[in-house]
Amino acid sequence: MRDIAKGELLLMALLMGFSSSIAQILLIREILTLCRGNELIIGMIFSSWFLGIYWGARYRPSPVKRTLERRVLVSVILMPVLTAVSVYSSGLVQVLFPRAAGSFYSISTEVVLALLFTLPVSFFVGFFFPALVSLISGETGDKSGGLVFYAESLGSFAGGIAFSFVLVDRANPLAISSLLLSFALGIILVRGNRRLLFLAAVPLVLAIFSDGIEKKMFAYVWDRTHTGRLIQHQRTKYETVAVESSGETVTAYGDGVLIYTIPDRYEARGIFHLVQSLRQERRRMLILGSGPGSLLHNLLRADIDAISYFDTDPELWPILHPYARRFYGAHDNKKLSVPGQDLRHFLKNSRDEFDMIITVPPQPDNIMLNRFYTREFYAQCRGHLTSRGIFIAGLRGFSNYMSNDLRDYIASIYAAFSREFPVHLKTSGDTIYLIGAKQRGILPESIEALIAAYGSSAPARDNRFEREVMQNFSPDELKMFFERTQLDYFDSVIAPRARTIDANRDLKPGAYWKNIVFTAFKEQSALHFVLRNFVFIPLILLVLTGAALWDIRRKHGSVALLKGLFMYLTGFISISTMIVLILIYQNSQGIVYYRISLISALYMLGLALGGFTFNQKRILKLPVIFIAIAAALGSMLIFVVHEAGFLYWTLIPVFSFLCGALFPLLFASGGGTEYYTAASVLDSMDHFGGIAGSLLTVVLVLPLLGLQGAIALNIILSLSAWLIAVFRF
Amino acid sequence: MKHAPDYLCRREFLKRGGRSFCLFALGSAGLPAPNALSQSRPEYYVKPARMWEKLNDHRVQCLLCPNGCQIDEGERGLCRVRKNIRGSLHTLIYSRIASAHVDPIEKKPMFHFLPGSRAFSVATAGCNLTCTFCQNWELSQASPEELEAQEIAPDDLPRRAQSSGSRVIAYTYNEPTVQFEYIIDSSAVARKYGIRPIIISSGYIRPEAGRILARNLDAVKIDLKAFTEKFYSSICGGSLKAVRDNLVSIYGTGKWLEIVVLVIPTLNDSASEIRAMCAWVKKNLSADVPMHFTRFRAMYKLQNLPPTPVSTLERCRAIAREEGIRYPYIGNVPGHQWESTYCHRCEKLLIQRSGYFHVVNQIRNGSCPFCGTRIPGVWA
Repeated sequence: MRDIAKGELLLMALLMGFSSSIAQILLIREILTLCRGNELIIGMIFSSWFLGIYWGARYRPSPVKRTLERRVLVSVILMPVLTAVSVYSSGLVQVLFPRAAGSFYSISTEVVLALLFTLPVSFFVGFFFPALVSLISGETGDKSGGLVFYAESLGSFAGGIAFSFVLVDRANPLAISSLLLSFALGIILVRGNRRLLFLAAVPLVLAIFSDGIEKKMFAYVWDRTHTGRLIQHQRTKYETVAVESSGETVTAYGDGVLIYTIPDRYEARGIFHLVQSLRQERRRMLILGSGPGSLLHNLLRADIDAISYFDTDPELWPILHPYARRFYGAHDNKKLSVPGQDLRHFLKNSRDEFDMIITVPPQPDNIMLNRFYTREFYAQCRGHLTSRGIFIAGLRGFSNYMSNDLRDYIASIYAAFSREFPVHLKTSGDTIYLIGAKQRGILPESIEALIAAYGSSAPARDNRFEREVMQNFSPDELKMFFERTQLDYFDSVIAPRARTIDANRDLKPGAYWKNIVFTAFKEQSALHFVLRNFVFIPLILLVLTGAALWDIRRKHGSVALLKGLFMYLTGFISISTMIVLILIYQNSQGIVYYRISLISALYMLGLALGGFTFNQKRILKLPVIFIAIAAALGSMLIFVVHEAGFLYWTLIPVFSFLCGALFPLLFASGGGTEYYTAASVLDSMDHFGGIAGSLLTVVLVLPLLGLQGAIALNIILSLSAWLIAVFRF
Repeated sequence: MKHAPDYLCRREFLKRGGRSFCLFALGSAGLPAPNALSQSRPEYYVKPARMWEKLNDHRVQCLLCPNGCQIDEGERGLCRVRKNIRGSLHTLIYSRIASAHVDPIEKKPMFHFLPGSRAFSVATAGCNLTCTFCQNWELSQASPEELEAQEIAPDDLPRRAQSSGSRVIAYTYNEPTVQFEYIIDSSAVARKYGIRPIIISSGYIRPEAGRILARNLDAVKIDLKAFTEKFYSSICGGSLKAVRDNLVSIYGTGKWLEIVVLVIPTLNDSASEIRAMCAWVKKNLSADVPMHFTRFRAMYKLQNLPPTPVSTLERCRAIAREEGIRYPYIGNVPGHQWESTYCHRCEKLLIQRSGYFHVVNQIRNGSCPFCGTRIPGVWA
């Protein structure tokens, strides 16, 4: 076997970068499906990602060239294999450790699974790097590892672009992994043993049949873990949608969470009559999230001029509508419009006004859904109401008692709603409807008045509507929405709390966070203890950081300590900002994973460019870079507050360029020839900072300070680094 | 009601952060839960319990429910509300009311007991089962100290019920039998006021305790959660046999009894299971015991299950009729025709219901106004 040439080594670095960026985004997407779309998991995946790289890189390469080469080759081949294994393990786990139908794994289990599924892949990302650096250094005499880093970063950039614009809605994870494996085998066998080159075609065959294989695997897992039979499975831009059939019903799930079931005639009965009782002459309506079921069907048969319908996932309608037609026939297309857009996006850009807006989204298990419970959303809805318009928002209520966690969850949404709609009514029950009016004097003065008015209009005898919605109807049924003692309890518990609690906001998604705490409480999960006593994670990280810095100082002196500290802060700030950027994008577009790869690609491009530029020439001094980082973050803060979208894509490479500049700058500063030690300190502290940044951002900084608070904290950290650089370095 | 401090506001964070840091520095294992920091434990909620016996070494055995917990000194039973204090068993929830609402009796559901009346409904903490679909899990799966509560003494309860316009006191939401002592004492006072006490229970209680309880009540509603031991053991942490024994025992006291079956898709909705259940009810209790097949909606740990198809409930009702049950109902489906009561003989509509606030009752003197058949139930 001949030695691997430098060009081939760089091609492998490129491929590893390409594979790892795609693996990361595939893992995020598939693990989100297992974990109810909960973005908390993204932070955990990033933590695990850095931990894996750190762990993999810790294995010191043997100086024997053959061993080094073997290590690189194994990594290149295993990377796509492990990606597929990790992605499909989420299904396998559900079969091996079945849950009771209708239940989830506890949120702590989900966090642990996210960590476990990410580690094998990220381990090999770290494992191959030092070996490849050693090999390339042997060829070129360059000890910085810069070339490998640039090639890998370029590969990551290419991977991000390829996934974001080509692969995302064209290829499944099995096909992508197979293609990557085929390519890896190809470049290895072309060099090594051409007679075995046919082996590279085997994964290609797998890729060709991957759609069918994947569908069978998904259906196998689904049918063993759910009550119904899977009839459709599709990855949309927003989530993984599954449609199951059970008896005469069809149910839609998004990222494993039940969205709605059709037909829903009896479920829709109450809300239909509530809407009708309030609607009177209101003829233009907007509905979010009821599904193509009975509420929509019957309202279309009422004397309404136009209904605009939205789902929380705009791609859900084309999936579900064919099934709905079986139960309800064709909808009246003249009255109904389904714009197929994200509702927030629509409200931002449209000037349409509505007499009534009804939103009944699934509960905010993730930030994508939380966007439909925030004060900003309610303000948008208010802005689109006519002067006599009415807004109805559904949210999870309570049975007979509210724990503190449930109370805070409801209060944060109620605070958001009531600040936009000071004139409002509320209902009682397991589902609460908050009913707001744009002006005073629109809503009925009492429940009795509402019932009397509806009763006198005798709507119940109208045969245009479904039998199940109308039979035996009495306006007295509306009293079920307004049970006196339940409403008194709400007023005594929620109303005072809503005055003091932070309202649920886009930039500070309190209800999402409180929902996580409430869910952990409900599941009696260990995470509940951690979240309730959430100072423990920062304390542990603080102690570990202190110990690591102390160890560096003891072994390598105070200059190394400062270098390590700078790198730690850079790792912390960069990953924390990356998470914030992802969530900002999701807030405005509703999409979480679809563009993470692009964000990641631009980030890696900036990082590589920064590294490359500063490796050639130090164009800025260390303190100036920290000031520039703070300035970039400050610009982000401005666009976060003012939603200046055009700045978004520009600032990512600028910010990462500055972060990328730090490694070569610190590596070269201070003199000395102990390259390995310097690289080891910087690399380990960078990853350590990344782990701390991702963990703290999702479990502490975002819940407590919100998105803009997280950026502000990062600015403070950058300025602190600047001060240290000016006065101590 | 008192509220525990909130743990996510900044001030509280800083306060607790500082406190935690100090505790951490001192090597403390952890913070006490927020409620434990704030909730007082008034002695008047703690009373000597009934239905237990002494064992050796200050241990006691609770004889209230089939769990038969053997409890060491200072420990509690599985229900979380009965504690061994210095070698004798005490209840921790006497008069400790965490939830009080006025509900229509139809909401319980009780369809043959004073239809259209209001029930002053009270609950406390604790349960001797661990059903994963519990609607009131925040009460039932909590310890008393975790809940904000008010004291309503046994003498005070009927007065409260009366002032709310209720004819009935319902011990409900969490498993009421865990407040055995309070029910016995307060129901005796309630009767003096002419108020009817009832319980809404899982029926997971020892027959002797069940009989004592039932004698002090006017009606009992039992949730028969399924008809297989597997369901009871895996989903509820209980035993079907114990519930069946208790049903027979309660029915034997002559108090009005209704049975509710929450039909959960795929877990307890098979035709054979429903048929066996109905046959057993008819054989061991009576064809006149109303059976309610109610619709499941996502609750507690079963959050991700679609609601029971209405056709499944209709099938359950049809099976019950085939097995000879005279008054099978469908529940949680407002407006459905089988939420109403029909004479088992002439099949005319006797009580029309839509939801639980609209009740039109045509029964006269406990009989069908059309054919004169006596309709089982408590009508006045």
